[in-house]
Amino acid sequence: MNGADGAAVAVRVERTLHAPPERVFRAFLEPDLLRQWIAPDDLTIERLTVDPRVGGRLEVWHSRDGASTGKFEGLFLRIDPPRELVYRWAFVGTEPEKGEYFDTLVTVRLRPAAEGQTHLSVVHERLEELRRGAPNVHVRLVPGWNNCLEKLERAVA
Amino acid sequence: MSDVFQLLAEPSRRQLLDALRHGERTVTQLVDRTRMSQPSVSKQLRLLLDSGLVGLRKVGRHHLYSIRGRPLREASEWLSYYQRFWEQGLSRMDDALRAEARARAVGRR
Repeated sequence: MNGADGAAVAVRVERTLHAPPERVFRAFLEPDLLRQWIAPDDLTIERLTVDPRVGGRLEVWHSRDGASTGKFEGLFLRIDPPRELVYRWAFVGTEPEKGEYFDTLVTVRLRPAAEGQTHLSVVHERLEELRRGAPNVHVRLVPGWNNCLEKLERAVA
Repeated sequence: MSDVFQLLAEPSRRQLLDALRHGERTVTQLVDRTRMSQPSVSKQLRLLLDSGLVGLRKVGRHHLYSIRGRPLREASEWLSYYQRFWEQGLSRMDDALRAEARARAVGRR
């Protein structure tokens, strides 16, 4: 939840990555790199395609234990390497014909940090769309995940 | 409770919740703190009451409003999933970028 900018239902993550901005930017657009991070650990990526231009799409089909869990879909709105990337980000469920499509917005900003590193901020907003469309989408997507993390947090506390 | 986020999307309601953070307040106190008009404070409070985000206790003539934690806690737990989605994703990305750099360094040798 956020402050006065109106994006009430958003998450913001900031991170310093051990690579220069040019390479971090590629990690959002190149299939070989995307495959290594875009899906939570317990999902298997079945297929991944990227059309890295404004209006182009990123599609990630995934499954768990051989059963399809649907697809992530991105639509690029702004590609300004190596500074800014904006895309619509949707979760398409296993029954897209039922209109299971939940549209959010991701804004990625990069700036160079010391020693060839990159400071990255990700703002993922319009999450209320997801909440309205599928209050439990993440439960279906990654059952037990929160629970595991809570156990982990307790273990290392 | 599915419309908690819609309620939170309105800045004036967030302002009211913020003003209630440190305990019970009367409408007059809320008007004071938020500099909103009395009718709009009352209107927004009613919506917050209906949703269960805010509770009401009557002491004599005074109506005391306070935050009810549960819906907010549920909303923040829901959001924390997406926070983790990104935090863990970016950790995997960092690992992948480092592995790529190592592979290149070996290739150059």
